[in-house]
Amino acid sequence: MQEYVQLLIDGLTIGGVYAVIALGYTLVYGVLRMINFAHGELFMMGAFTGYYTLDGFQRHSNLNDTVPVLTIATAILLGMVVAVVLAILMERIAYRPLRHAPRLAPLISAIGVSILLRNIMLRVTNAQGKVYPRVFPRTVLELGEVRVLYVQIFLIVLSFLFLALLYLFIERTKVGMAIRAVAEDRSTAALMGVNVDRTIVLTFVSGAALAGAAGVVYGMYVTTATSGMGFIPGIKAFTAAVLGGIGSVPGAMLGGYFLGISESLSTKWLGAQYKDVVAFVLLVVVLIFRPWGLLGKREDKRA
Amino acid sequence: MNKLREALAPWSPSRLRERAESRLRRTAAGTAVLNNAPYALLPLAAIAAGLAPEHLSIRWAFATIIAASYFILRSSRDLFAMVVLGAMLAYLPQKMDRFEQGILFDVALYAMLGIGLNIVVGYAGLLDLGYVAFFAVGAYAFALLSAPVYGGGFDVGTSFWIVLPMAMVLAALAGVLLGIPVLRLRGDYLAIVTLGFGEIVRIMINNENQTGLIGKHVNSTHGITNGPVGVFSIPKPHFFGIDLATPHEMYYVVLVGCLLAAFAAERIRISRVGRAWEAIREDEDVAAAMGVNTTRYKLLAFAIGASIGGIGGVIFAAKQSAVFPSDFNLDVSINVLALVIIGGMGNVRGVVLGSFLLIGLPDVLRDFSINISFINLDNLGADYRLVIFGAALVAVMVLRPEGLLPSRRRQAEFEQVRAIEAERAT
Amino acid sequence: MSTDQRRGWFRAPLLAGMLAVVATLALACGGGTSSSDKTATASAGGKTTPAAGKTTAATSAAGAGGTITIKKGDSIKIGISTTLSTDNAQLGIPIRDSALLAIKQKATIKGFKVEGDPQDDLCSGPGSVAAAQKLIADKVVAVVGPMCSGGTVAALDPYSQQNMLVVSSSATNPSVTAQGKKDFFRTAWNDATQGAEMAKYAYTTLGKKNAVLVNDQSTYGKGLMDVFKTAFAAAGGKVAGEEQVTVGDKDFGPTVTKIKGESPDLVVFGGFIAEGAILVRQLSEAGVTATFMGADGIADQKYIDQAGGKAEGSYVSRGPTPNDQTEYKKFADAFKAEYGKDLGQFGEQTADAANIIMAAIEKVATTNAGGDLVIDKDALIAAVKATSNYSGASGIITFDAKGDRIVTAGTVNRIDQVKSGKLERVQ
Repeated sequence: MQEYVQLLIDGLTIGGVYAVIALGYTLVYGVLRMINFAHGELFMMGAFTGYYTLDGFQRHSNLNDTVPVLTIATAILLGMVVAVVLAILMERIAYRPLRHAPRLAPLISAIGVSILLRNIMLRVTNAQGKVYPRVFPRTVLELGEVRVLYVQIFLIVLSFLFLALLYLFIERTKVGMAIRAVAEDRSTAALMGVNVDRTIVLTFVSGAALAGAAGVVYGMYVTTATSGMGFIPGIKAFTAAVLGGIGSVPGAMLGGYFLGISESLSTKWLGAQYKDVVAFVLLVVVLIFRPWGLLGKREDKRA
Repeated sequence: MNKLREALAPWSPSRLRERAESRLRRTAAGTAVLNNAPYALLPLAAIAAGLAPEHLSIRWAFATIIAASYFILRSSRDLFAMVVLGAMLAYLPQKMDRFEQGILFDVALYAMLGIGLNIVVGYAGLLDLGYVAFFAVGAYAFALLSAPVYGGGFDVGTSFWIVLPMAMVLAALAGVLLGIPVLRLRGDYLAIVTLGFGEIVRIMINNENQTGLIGKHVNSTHGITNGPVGVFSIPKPHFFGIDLATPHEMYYVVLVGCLLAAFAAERIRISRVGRAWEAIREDEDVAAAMGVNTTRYKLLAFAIGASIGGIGGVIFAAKQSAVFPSDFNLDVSINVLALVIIGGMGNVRGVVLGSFLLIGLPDVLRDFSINISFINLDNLGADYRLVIFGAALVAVMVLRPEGLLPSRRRQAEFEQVRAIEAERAT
Repeated sequence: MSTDQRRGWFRAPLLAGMLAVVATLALACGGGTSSSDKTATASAGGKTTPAAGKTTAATSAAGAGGTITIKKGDSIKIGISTTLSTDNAQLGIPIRDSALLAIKQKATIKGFKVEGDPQDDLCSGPGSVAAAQKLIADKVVAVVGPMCSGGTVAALDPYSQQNMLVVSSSATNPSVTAQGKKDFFRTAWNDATQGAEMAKYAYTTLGKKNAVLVNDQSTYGKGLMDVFKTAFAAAGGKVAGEEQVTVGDKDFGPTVTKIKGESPDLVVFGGFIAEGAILVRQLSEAGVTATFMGADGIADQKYIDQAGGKAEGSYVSRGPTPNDQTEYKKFADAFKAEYGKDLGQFGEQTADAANIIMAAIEKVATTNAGGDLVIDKDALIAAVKATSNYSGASGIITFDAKGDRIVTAGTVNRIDQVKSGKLERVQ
């Protein structure tokens, strides 16, 4: 029994990461009908920003020891900033010119951005993984046989916090309403006075901020940052977003956690090597019976 | 960004070329030169390849080949041009060294894969991100059938030429298997599921050795696929007594395969099936309303595209004499998709050009370095290869989203869209 | 009829025409003996001519004979095939540096300058094959490498067609020598040997009876663990479970939980630095008290660094090392002096590979009338094959008939333990 609880917690951890990244995917897809393949790389850049920030604090001060809360908060904030800046650049340079191009052009462009970012970081770090300085205490909470790291709890809590914040943002603010409008019908939204370009940028920004912050916290959890660390989580997160219903914010969260927990539990019976197989099989099964995902809108073309 | 493009427009290559052309065409001599210019490049290419000094040869020969190919491919309506291109592609490897021949083999192989994927993505409009699965099926089919037991195979001893049609059928079956569950999916959903399929195939191959879930019941020495160790010592194929042992020799096999695949693809495209695909690509619901059996044609697209991938896999396994699960990762699918789209979708000529650029150039630039005064970038080619690759993908897409050699129909579609946009902007 | 169909009338003849052209050229130009050299600096021998007939299935077209001629004034080039990009560059770059240093130390052979030619082999099949073709085109005399087992298996095809001497210092999977290529040797132990040594140490010296094996799904990792499993069981130990992790993954939580449930007293890992560090750290955080043991793939300070202090007490099997440490220390010190870093995992084995190659060249090379250096390829390979009791930085080296390095007297399997954040030798 204890083992299952442990597996559940492990699943929630990785599920939380998938969920937060999936939020970014689903937002961008909602407004642009485009898969931002480079979204996982924003997560990776967030992780590196976190490293360089904390490492900087470590080398030039002792703030990491005295006020870790401050340094961690700064790291997270900077992670969000860097991710946001990158997202804005991406949107401007690689996606906006392709708004009216055929479906596949922005996809290839996104893949190009992903390859570019990954390999720039590979060169910058010279293929070395960067090890985070020990800032977040790695204390373990022990509940019987189950062991949870505090940083894990932080990650999980943060992901739920982000969901709540994003949900409020989308549902209760004017900007959120604009995003929903553009997602539903771009030209009508424009007619209604919504600045479409600005809204799209803001959508990218929101998704990116979340991914960047998640990157920092994940980096602290796994203690290393490598240039390839965003690629597979990015693909899994997209799978999660599709699973939950792309375009739906709660769907992304649901998909993320569902995927994380399934992966974790399947490891027990099938071994970790089949993790990805399980993820995709799950996806196919869900899509056969509900092609629009678990919480997605039924795309009714009739009438 | 748009303003910049507008400002630069009068000096864009196409505009410059138009002005130069119109000026030249005013004279008879000028017209003659223009009409025959592409063919003049060919002897130049051959000479360049043969005579270039050793340390320059790789770059200049390849650059000339690409330039010549570009112009020839553009005017592909001309029978003469195509024959000359074929002759050039067949002759030039004689003049290249081992390394360049290897690159040419890769270019040709990926071009063939591109032709196959083009059927799925370009003709039928089905976004397939897992094409490597069919490549893997073909490769492992040949590998497992012909490799000796110590190499991880079953040593059935089937000849390469018999495995080719077998792999076609197997891969086509795999294509249908992939197609059935995804019939109802559109666009990006389809993309992610096909991506998953590609990954599943790779993972299964990697794990089904003697400890795999299914593998352990099949065979105690190496399961089904021999796992991450791969299958090696695959024997080389024979052709009427000639051993096809070098990349150069296998290159001819791929070249013929490419030609056949291109021919088949073209014939299908202008047939009823091709028209059905076009209808499905343009608007699936309208097509269904008009009586097109979308299920059948979609599955057919998957199957035919997959079978070409399977053939490519068999040839790859024969050339490398060893296959590993890591050879069949997502990067292969992405590379093939990228070259199809950058070359110009729906278009065999575009695929060929795309393959030259995306597969040939990075390897050719392996030891490219810039050493001009204070700029000292040693190993620019080797270390920054992929950075340049990614940047190039973005650049080409942003500057020419229809691809470098789009089919005339797509070019027309694009001009239409651009005209509308220009109107909207004013 | 549509426009396309009207235009398509010439397509069939066009295709036939192109096929005819291709076939004619293919057959006319000898169907295989393409010239692979531009200026005649080196004649690459060993290409199967059509007249040579079919080869048997077991060995692909293995070239035979051939000589290399190096013109007076040119240098002797030795290829270095190693991984310079991707994560495995952490192991690959030190290999390159070691080889380059050994070459630099030798400097000249019979008056000809010796140079290294490093190429990136990407630790993959296609990458190693491309690197091989580049090195062949660069006309190197011999090759140190390739780095990874899978890549080596694939790359031996083009290399042996050229009858090229290849000595690897790090490709350890048994499958590499299973092909029987006669121009390949390795100064690293076959994993069959390494795995057995590890199992022996674990069972006999450490007294572990109950092990869980973890591999990273790579050719190297899985191969090593398979050998360990057999050897450990044969010695009397029990394998409680076999798990896998995925390269690139950063969180092995579920796997660690599963291992914990299997309650082993030893966890053995076949894989590389990044995954090894994560695994040992997470095992410790999960409260698994079993001893952790890894092999040459993680034998690097970075493994300790990336594990954040949790690697303390773990064991690392490093492969052959001499009882008499003089040669080793000499090279290690020289390496430190040259690069300012400690010798990496495969450093001494790479140096030995390079030195054995250069010694063989020196032995068989002759100068001709024009002052050029002539090296007979078969003689070169035979010279290396005859290596027996060669005293190298990694121990006494003798090659067996398959090209593997046998366990010789005076050489032990080096086992390090992590003590106070550093690798310290305990055997």
